Amino acid sequence: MISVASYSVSYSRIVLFVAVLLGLLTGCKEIKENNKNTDPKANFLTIYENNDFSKSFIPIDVQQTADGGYLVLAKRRITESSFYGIYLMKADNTGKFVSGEEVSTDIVNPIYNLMKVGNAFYFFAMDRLSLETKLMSASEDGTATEISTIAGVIYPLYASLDEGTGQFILQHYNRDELKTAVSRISVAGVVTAQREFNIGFGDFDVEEPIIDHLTGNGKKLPFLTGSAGGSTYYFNGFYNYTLSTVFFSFNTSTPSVLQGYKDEKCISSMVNLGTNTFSTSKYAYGTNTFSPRVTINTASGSIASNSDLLGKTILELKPDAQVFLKRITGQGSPVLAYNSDTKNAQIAIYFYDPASGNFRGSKHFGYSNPYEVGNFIQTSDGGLAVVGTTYVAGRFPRIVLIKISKEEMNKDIH
Amino acid sequence: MNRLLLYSFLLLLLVTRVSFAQNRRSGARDSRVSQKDFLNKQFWVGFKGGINYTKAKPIDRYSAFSSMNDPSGNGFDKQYKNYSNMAAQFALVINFHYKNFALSFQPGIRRMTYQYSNTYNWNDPLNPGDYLQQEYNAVNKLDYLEFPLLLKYEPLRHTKLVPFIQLGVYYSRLNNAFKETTLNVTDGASGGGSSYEAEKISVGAKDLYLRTNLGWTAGAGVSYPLGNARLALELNYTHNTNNITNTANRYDNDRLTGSGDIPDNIKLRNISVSFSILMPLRFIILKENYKTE
Repeated sequence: MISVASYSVSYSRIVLFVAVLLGLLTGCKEIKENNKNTDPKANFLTIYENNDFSKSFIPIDVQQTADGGYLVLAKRRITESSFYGIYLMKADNTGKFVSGEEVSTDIVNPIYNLMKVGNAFYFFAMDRLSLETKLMSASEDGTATEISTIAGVIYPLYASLDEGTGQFILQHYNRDELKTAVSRISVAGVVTAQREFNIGFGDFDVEEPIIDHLTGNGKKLPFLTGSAGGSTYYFNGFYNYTLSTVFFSFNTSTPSVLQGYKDEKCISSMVNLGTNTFSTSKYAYGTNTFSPRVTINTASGSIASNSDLLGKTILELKPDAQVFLKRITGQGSPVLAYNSDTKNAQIAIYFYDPASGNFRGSKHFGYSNPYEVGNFIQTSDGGLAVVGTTYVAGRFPRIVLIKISKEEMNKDIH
Repeated sequence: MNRLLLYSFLLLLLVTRVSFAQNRRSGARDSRVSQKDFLNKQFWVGFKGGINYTKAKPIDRYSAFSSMNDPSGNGFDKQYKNYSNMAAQFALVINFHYKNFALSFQPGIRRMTYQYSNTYNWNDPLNPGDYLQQEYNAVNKLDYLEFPLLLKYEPLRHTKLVPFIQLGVYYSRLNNAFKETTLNVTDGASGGGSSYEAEKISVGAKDLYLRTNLGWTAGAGVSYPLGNARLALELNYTHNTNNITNTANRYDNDRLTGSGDIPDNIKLRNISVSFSILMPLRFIILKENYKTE
């Protein structure tokens, strides 16, 4: 009886000792892993707070600088104009605020995108009085400088970098002749090519929606420009009475058109995957559709409707949502990333396979404070940096920068 | 909390069984041993319970906010309220006494509660009446299964009231964690001048913390014999040596992150007062009474 009791006690003691020892070893390993994860550059979320009641900041793009930090181009409300003023912010590689420049209110209306050419950064804006386009540069430390005023080019709407030529493709609105114009502009601010497209006359008024778009008082219109390979470019803008996608070259050849319907059925994002092959998104009367891989005939003179593009309806998104589409690398392979706004005020990124068009996962940001998409980039460490607007205390528009590591992103790409 | 109560109940049940077994057997056999022999080498078992207060010591501070007005400032640092929230702990105690020393293993459960606050202000320089103040108060409750191993020293063993000091190490495993954040608002811009509770967020926060909590503990107390049992009152200080914030999940809770609540890297300090009841194991198994000759 005694020996049984002693044996039982000894046996229990050994089991308990082994269990605690195993737990201790697991714990030590866990602590070691936890200390590895303390790199503040890999993951962070920072809201850039300003205690001035009257300030509001709405970011439109982000770029990573050579020192690993971030440049954020933002709009800000000013009293001198109904157009937005410009705010340029520098954050360090952990997301901490470094500096912010409220650019002179003589220059307004910063437009998409903040473009990186070599180690320099550029964006377009507008003279507050003459409405002429200005090419601006942004230094690594977050200082904005005017490079040139582009005479005769008014109402800039959207600009992108043409990787082939290292120049900018700028869409602008010629209100005097009621035309949409596209200019190719060098980094020195010189127009090297230009073409104009008729919008049309009559009851179709584009001036009001364009002004509302630029002043933030109405619908955000999906103006786009880009390269479709070779000498073919495209713009998404007003052409022939509708907000259409137009493929053209800077010569006199007849453009190819993917028609929409007014500003109610439009392409909302586009990336060229190869000859006549694109990834796009569109909205029609509030409903958003992603088409990760579609064929569009860009041959001169062809006409089609964006209704013909098949895709996946994304019910989660806001009606007529802004969509930012980019090619990134995830799980070691090319991935298409659609970045947009959800109905419950989150920023969402949807990942698709560019080869098959299959859905590969999604990631959402935001919960209690509403979030609105600004733009995103893939960072040098293979992660993602997403910039957006959050309404602190439900009322103050502030810049939010979210950085996730490659590992964190890959968790959501399957 | 339900799980904590369940564990407490099971622990009490175990100790109660031991006590009843002792009562049933105490009359059956009474092989008296000398008090000296008995006290020199003996296992004691029992339980202890009490209250504790926690301090969170920030090692690296984090905030979802970065100030545009004062980039070098630390206006968004959390204000910790040290040792301000009472919590409880229960443990099974297994002591092996040898002369003036004892090795004590005390597996148990411990809730550690700490609190911090953040205050944010917005003002309109042109309209002083337009202001908004938000104060976030976060109460964090962590439930641990803990396994302390202590070396105890009793300098005066033959007095009625036996003082002791103890020092040891512990390994704790997080069982559950909760966070309650209360938002109080003073909204001058909307015409209000007084504070009101605008929101209360209660979330499970287990993923925000590391499962492991290691450290050392030191304490002192006095024990008093009562029949076959020994009652003790002790004060202990527990010093956690690793960061308990799960750095990989720091930004994972969207509800908290959205309201600007990002956990700092912290270590915990805890002061506890416990009352314990111990029985000699030899008495329980062999029915040998612990009595003065």
